[in-house]
Amino acid sequence: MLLEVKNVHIQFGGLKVIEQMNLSLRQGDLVGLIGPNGAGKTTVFNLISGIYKPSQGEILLEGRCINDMKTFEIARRGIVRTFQNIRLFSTLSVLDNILVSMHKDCSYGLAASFLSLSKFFSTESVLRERAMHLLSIFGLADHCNKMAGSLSYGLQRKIEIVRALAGSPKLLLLDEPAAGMNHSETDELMNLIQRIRSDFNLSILLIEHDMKLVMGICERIVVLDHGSIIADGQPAHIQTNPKVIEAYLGVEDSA
Amino acid sequence: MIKLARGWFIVLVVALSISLFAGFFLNAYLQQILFFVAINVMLAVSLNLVMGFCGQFSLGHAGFLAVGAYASGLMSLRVPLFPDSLSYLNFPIYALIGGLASAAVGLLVGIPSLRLRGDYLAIVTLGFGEIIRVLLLNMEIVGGARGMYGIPGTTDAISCFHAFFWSGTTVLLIWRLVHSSYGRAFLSVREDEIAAECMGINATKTKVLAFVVSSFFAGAAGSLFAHTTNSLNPASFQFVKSVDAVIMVVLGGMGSITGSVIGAVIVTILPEALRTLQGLPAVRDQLGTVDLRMVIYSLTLIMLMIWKPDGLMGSMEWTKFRRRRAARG
Repeated sequence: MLLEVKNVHIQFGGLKVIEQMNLSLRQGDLVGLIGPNGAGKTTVFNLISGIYKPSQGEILLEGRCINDMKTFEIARRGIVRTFQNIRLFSTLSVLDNILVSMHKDCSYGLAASFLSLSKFFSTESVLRERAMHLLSIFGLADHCNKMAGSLSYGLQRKIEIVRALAGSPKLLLLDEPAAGMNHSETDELMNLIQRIRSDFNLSILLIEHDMKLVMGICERIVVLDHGSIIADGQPAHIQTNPKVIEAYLGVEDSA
Repeated sequence: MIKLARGWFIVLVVALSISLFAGFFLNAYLQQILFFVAINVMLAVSLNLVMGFCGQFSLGHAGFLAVGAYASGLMSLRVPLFPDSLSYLNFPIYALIGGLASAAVGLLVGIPSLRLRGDYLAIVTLGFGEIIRVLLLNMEIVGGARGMYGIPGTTDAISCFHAFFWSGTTVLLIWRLVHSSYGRAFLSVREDEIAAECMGINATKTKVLAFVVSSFFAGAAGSLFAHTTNSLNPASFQFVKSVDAVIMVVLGGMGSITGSVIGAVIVTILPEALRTLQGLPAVRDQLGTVDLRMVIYSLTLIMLMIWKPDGLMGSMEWTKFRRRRAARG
């Protein structure tokens, strides 16, 4: 099991946001997390990536409890995410954005950077090459020296995904990757996500409101409503699940 | 190897030419100003590391200057290392000790206070600067309010070389640091701390690192200060001194080392250069003892902030100009 969320609760003051959450992901899974607005989807991401700590229950990554780990430790262990509202380092160049993610792979110490030892140059060029390689896979190599914040919305979303991949994750969390994209961009994104999973050999958990995308690529869908999971299964089953339909559309008034 | 040596070569040439120029052409007064340029360049560049690159607003830089100055002054009075004939060899060691003392204090202050952000951090660092000053004011071993006197040091060409060598070293090392992977970590913390953490950057460690490196060079600057003025008094390290450092950084442009150097030079030289204005008969007759100097100085700053709110250089470095010119021609 790659990720196990066991009996997780979180409450802010008296407000219970996530209750009794159980979720497990295997290596290579592509799972969609859906639910109406305010269901607590992004909170789940914040819990898994360590920004929030669960009030109860535990989260395991490859069998190890990550409850008490800091966000950066969790990221280094292989859970990397993107954000619903893009959070690129907007005044940095695209290349530098990617390189920030690779800081953990930077093997030279302070002395090497102060004294410009040969190790500094060799490591830097390896990191740069890796970053450029990643960018070129996604056709972004031409933009590498541009300021990240100056690019179009769609490109920024793509760069955020590449930045996450640069952290060599085992589990990639995508928070509404298709938000604000048009149809053709969404189609391209769907291909991209599938390609990422097979080429980089990782598991993906994604939050998305675009049902075409979710139903199209996810093998499994988890539905969240009012902080609890109401359904978990294959797309076809989810579509006909009465509880899900109720959560999204409400029930017909019999009176 | 060439790249390794090139930076040091530039530092040596700059320090050597400035000190030769100072030794042959400048009187003691101008030499003193030149010393303050060297000290303020160190102060501004080191503060820029914390403020401009790491995005943490610090108002306690004078505190680190004070720690370095007093540690170095005390050392020179109590523990003479080399005999008088070799006294010049002492100063680099004193500067190193001043820097290390200051870095240690920086670590001590940084770990608890860097949990705070923005205005809160500014208030804590401001408080820290004042604590240092009040402590020094009450410590008998450093002379308390009377201050510390008889600290060795000259403003001749050799000392000038020493000062500008340190100054150049500060610029070189901080330049290299911000152009390394650590530098990108600093910038990412400045841009978005949460996003940086999610990309595996240890934000606290990164901020403390910037803070400690910055206080090291501020402490070394303090050592230069002690051996230039030959006497220390807690009154020299008041809050205003920290504000001066902030002005240099903001004036030059946050996140630009070139800018900090320019800012430091302007803020040091401008008030002195304007002294001649005060001596003009017209000014003397009309305004009497009113200090016109400071009025012009502050007006200059205000106008700069209106027309160039990002500072003189923004976040650009001198290499950008060179590159742009190369691209054009």
